[in-house]
Amino acid sequence: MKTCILSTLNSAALSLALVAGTVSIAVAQTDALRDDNPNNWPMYNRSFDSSRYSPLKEITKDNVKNLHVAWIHQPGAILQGLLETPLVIDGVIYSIASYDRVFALNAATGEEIWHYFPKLDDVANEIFFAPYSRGVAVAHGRVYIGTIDGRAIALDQKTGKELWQTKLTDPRKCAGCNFTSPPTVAGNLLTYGPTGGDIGDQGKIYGLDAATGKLVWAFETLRDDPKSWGGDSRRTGGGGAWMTGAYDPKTDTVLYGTSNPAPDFDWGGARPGDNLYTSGVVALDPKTGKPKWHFQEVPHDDWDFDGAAGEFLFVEKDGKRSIVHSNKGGYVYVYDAESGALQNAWPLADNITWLDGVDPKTGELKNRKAPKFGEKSYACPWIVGAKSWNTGSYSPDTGLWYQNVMEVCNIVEMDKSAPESIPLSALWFGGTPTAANPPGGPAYGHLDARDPLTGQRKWQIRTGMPMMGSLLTTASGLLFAGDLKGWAHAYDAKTGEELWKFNLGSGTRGGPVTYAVNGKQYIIFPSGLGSAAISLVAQIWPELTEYPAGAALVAFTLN
Amino acid sequence: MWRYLALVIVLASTVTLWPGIAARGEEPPIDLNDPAQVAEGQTTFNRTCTGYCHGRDGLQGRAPSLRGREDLSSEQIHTTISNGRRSAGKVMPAWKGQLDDQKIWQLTAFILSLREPH
Repeated sequence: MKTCILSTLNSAALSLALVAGTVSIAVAQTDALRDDNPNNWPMYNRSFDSSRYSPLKEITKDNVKNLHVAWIHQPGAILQGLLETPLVIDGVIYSIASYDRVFALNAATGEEIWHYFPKLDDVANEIFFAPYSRGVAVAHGRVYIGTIDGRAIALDQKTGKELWQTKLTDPRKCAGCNFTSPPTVAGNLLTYGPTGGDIGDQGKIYGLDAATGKLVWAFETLRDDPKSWGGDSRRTGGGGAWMTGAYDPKTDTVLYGTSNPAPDFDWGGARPGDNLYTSGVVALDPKTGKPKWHFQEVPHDDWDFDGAAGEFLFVEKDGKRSIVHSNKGGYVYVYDAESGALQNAWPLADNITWLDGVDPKTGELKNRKAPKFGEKSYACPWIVGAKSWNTGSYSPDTGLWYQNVMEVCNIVEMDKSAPESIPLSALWFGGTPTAANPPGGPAYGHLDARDPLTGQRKWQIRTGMPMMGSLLTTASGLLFAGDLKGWAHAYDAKTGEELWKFNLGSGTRGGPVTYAVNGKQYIIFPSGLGSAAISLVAQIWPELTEYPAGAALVAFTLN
Repeated sequence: MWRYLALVIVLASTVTLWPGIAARGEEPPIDLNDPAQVAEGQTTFNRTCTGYCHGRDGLQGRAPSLRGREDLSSEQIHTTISNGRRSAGKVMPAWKGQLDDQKIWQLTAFILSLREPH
């Protein structure tokens, strides 16, 4: 009898301890990063579901035409424009511009609170993926960045003083691999995905202790398996994961879209095998870096259709959570959020010629048509993708997912080359893509409103030159988008009717955000044309060659 | 002595008034019209310069077209490739140190050949 009571008490104590431990871990995770304050934009896609949707309602469909400029911030570095999505937390904006210039700004006035300009290694002037950054991460009282010269750096959130830095890559030793996107906060871990794919490196995803910057793990995006990488190809197989990842607190998983393999174009035998884990999705345990599941959307990618350009939208329907992820090849993949099992695959682009279709149950590519060495191979979509790295937006009010889509193709001519022959400033494509029109007529763009799970299109706005900025929706039924010429637009999210526009002066490639401070709502547009992709846009739309670069955060508000 | 000094002054001013004399005296190490050199330049060009910058065979990208560029001399082309270029929001890297000078002259020969319609 006594033994029974004791063992029962012990079990109870153990259970209590386990529960308390679990609760304290959960509290630590939610304290690290939270998305439940309607006034804030605390992470790259605003919330853990990556919806870029704000519950703020002061700016409405009726009064949006009364928006006026509240202030402008100029970071002073315009090379490659301003590609960021700024963060806003408790009345402070955290912004990053070219050369990894970080600013904390008063969200009501745009005035600088502090700035941090890292001393960058000279290599930053030589490598290709530079000198831009798409954003910072903020958590634990720190601002985290990934630099163009391969470092992870943590700054004090209040003062901007450097707290720690960790060198993760040496761009000179990895064909120019570096960081151009925000790290991802996963509880007390911080994950970093480097550039890669178009360079002959061996891309990894890194997990760091957020408090100390110490490297905890490195996940090889190129699977160490000769069946996936024949011969010596893994040594320079590319990979990496160059866009920010998505942390799912419900499953404690961090998701990354992986880069394509190198060389982009396989002239025949360049990289035998399926080239796992490139051009797909990996779901990692943030504490260990071990993969929980993965899906390779384009095995042995022959077209530069990496997974990195797709964000991870979490959508719940009938009690079931799904992850929606677009691949550059034009298909959108729907995964079960718990298991990663494929639920559906649907076409986002109108013109997809590189295969006949994707099996929606298995993801199998039907009748893929790889380019051939010695031929001019035509493929739609182009290497820039049906959708580039700009993020869409999902409104729970309309149930629609908004995306900027491009109907542009390319002709590829392959060149056989050794990775050692490629200088540091160049990319290892294995050929050249030249932009081309789709089969039916001239190239064009379209802003779509679709059901994210089925792909059913509700409406679209057709443009000539595509829009390539991230999108924003709000609870008052507004959709905000910026174009490459410099116009900021507001649309009715239900119908696509344009309600407001403003000439920013230079194109939007980054992400507009909204926030409130002192009870007043603001919209910020990052204005500043840049990025590698627009060079190919200029092949179809040559007027873009003369479009001005720039860099300015332009904030709008009502009276 | 004065004649000697005068000679020195004349020679010194020749060099300062025409600072390019020593540089311009250099001949390219290759025959810029040699089709074999142009072909080498084309190979290097399409491997190194296209992609997200110049486009295949010098077609436009974010950089202006290199086709039919009567306005570019061989020296200007060679110098720009070697030293790079910055122009209000755009940058071209410096290729000296990454490509040897012979390759840069071959690229120059190729770009000169683009003056003819393709």
